[in-house]
Amino acid sequence: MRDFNPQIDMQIDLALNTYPLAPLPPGFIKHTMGRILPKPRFHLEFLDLALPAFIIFFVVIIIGLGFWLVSSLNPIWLLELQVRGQWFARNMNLFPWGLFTFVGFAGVCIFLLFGLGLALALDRPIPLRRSF
Amino acid sequence: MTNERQLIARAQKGDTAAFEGLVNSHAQYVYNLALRVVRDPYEAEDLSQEAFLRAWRSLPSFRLEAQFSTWLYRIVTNLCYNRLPRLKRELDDLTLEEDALDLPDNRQNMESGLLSKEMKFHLHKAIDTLPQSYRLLITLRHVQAMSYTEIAQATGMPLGTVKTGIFRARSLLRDALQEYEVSNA
Repeated sequence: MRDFNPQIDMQIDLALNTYPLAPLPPGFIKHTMGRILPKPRFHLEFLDLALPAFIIFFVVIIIGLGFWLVSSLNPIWLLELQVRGQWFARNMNLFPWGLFTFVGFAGVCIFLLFGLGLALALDRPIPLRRSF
Repeated sequence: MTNERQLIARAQKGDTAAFEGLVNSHAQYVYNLALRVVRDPYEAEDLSQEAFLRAWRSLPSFRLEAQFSTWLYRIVTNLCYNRLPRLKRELDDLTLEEDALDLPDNRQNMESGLLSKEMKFHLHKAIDTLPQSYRLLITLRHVQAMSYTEIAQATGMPLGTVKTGIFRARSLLRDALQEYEVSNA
């Protein structure tokens, strides 16, 4: 049989009803809605097309310029270039290749850093993280 | 409540701003229900967010005549069952207690003077140490202020099991209170 003391029951009710609610973690609503809202679909923007187009254009111009220079060179200069080339092939071991490698590596690093800086300045995701 | 019905109707049509309104009004209760059961703030946060995500996905099938909070707590409870398999077992294993079945379904307004600060603190600590199934039922009953029938709907348990669980939880709290009174006599 129940032999409840009404006062004890009331005290328990009071304790249960006054149990404090924990505050929500910071940013709870924002994070919840972040999981609910649809992720924006990927689409190409102007710079995504303009940058590769510029690079391709630049590479084509350089290669074209090289061909044009070789074809329009004075035959004597061309002959001199061939002689210098042969001299270069014979004396390759005299060049500081370590220094050249270092300069090349430093150049690539500077180029990548420039690209990263540009990406951050434009507040765009780094191209490596993008999926097509 | 009419406002909530309007928000639900709009959210059912895909209005995320309306759903954010519903999240705003229920977030603290959902989070606290999860926190009381799982006892870990990070787990509770993840569970509550998952509950809202599921609610958003199943909202088109929600019938407006039903109680939104009961439906939402049902989602939370199901998630708790998934993460804590022991919780469902504990509730399933509750054998019905005859005394529990005639528990009145009314809540009384009490004067806070009946309970000293220390006694309240002691009882709150005792609530924290209850088995997780009792914590779930007690929270739904007293924090969410739900009726026994609503709790039965939210937990998917028979009404008798709900009443027995709450009855036993209160018995444990009564023991804790008597123990406190004896030690302070």
